[in-house]
Amino acid sequence: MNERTTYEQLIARKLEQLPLPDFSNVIWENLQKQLDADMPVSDNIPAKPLVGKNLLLKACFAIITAIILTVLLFLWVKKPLIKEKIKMSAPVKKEQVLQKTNEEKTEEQHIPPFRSIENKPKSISLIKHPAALIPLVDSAALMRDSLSNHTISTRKPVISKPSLDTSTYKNPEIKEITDDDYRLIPERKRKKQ
Amino acid sequence: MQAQEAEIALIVKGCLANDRKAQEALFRHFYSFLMPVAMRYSRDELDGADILNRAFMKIFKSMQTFDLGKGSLYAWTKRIVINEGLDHIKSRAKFNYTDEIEFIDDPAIDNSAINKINAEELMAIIRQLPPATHAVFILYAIEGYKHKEIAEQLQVSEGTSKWHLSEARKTLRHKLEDLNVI
Repeated sequence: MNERTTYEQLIARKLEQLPLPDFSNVIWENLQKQLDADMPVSDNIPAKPLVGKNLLLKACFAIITAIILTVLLFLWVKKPLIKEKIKMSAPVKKEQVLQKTNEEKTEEQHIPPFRSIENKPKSISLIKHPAALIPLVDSAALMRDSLSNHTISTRKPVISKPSLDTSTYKNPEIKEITDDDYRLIPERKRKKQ
Repeated sequence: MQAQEAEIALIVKGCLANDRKAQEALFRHFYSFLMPVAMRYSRDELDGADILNRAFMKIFKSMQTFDLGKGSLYAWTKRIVINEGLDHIKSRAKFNYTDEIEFIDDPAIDNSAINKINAEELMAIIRQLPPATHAVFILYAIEGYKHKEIAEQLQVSEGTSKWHLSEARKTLRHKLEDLNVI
């Protein structure tokens, strides 16, 4: 197994006698074309294929450069946003939370109750008359402002306090409705009266 | 002999300068030496021409790696053609076999049987071998490589190389029997 047998040596000698096919011209022509494409000589550079090749290379280079620049620009724009997100979602230490709540408490003392409610959206309390807390906007005053200035007023809207008890309000010019108003009287009698 | 060496040195110099005439001279000078080598690893003559074509492209492209002082141009170019031939066979076959053997009885073939058939018939029988077996048989029986060298070249174990040689010998005997020469 590890030695060449005598018949194998004989086969090797016999194969040397194998007739050669005459492909030399065909192979050389093919080789010349490949050499002109891969290893061009300054004298015999075929113009068209090389121009095409260069154009293709340039186009590929331009596309790759454009892709790289786009990716870099995208990353550059995205980076600060990601940082902000991380900052916002970063865990807060217990001490910081306590300090923050203390600050909020001191703020609550100075800010009017309306704003304090706005700052605490999570604290839900039962409100008997929610309409009492909703500020009323004087739309007439706003209209007047806009007409006089012909521009949108930068002033804050006039907020009037809500008036809940309207039953006690009486207009002196309006008479009260009495039982006599509902009584049916014929027209003749009415004229007499 | 010295004149031939000087001529080859001139051709190599021209090839290094990418001179087409020198490249053609090299091709024409080595064609009759390298074409039979390419033919041994091919399925037919056209296949052999394709192997030689690719081998010559490698020769021209890597001419700067050749050192005349270290070895002959014949050996260097033959090595390139063999590698190209093996790549050609590798593209058609897998070499990783699980069957590995250390020793096997070789089927005896009488020299007279080989003498009864001509070179073309012999080559036709060898080409009928499976691609991997074909490669191992040519490398061992014709080129004279050892199993260790074949194993390194084909990236298989020595046992696998031996198994392929054994298979080649058995098949060769069967084919010769079919031809009624044994």
